[in-house]
Amino acid sequence: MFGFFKKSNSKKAAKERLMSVVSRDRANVSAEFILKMTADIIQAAVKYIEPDYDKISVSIERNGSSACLLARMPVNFFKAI
Amino acid sequence: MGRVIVVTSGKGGVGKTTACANIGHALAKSGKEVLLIDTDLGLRNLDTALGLENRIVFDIVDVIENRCRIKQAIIRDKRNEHLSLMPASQSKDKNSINEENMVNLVRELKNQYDFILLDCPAGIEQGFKNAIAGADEALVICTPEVSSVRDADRVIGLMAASEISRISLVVNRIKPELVRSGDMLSLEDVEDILGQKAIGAIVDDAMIVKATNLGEAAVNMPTSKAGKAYENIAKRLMGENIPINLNSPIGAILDKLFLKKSAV
Repeated sequence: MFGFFKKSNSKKAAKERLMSVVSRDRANVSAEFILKMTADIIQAAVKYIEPDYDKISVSIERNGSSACLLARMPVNFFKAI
Repeated sequence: MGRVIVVTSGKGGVGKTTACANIGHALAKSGKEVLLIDTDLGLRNLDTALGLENRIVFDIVDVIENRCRIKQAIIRDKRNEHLSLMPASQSKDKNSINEENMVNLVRELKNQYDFILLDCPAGIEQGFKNAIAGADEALVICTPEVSSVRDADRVIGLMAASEISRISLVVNRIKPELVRSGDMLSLEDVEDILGQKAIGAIVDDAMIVKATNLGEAAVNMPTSKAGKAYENIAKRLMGENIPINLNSPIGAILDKLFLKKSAV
């Protein structure tokens, strides 16, 4: 009845649930997404290292509700910056 | 060359058809040549939203299957000569058209209109694929509810991999009093979750129900808040810079008095 003065917070719950579910949905990604992301990651990394291009692997590992990006990039040599 | 904009949402019942009808009317009112294409085969509704249901002879499937010329399936609005509709068929199902058909159809019509709005069916199946194949831009409609926001994120993700160059977000049916009391996601919440700014925000407005009953557009009802919001979306689409303002004067005063710290 006095909800006008009391701050209810189902919206906070909705936002938190959405943030989590949307991130999980997004992590369930296509090969195309991985390829595009891999290209961008390599582009950033080559400023600092010369990777062994043939052995680069990028993947998303899921563990329950969380996801982890794993980028494996063997280094041939480090660049001078 | 006209702009082809698909109006989509993922989830059904969030106001795609209403948005199409109203934004179409608003664009046409400012003198743009506008064609609305209903791509929801088997479940056509844009005709009734516009009050044109009694004037349909041919439809989009007739055009694609060469039973009539394109012109014969285009109905001009009774009020605004700049606004036209190509209805969906009611008897054929969504598999009577493929992406290539849609791309070809749109290509033929593109130079005759300033704007072509494609009213997309709910879901992400063939009908959705057809509609986005024909479009250069997208308006994603969502309401401030968990299922709707989630589906909006999904269709935005799907369209990111397509030819669509610009995706704009519209948040529909916001209830400011519920947002204030903390029981509805605010416009800013939805923008946060989806990671993009909205091109428009529409408060829940009973006038929409009335307008839909009558087959009229809320943009033609001077007192309709939603109508005004749709008009602003049309202006923003045409490049005008109009800030989004959801606060009614009374709401703003209430916020100041009671809930200032929580007014997000």
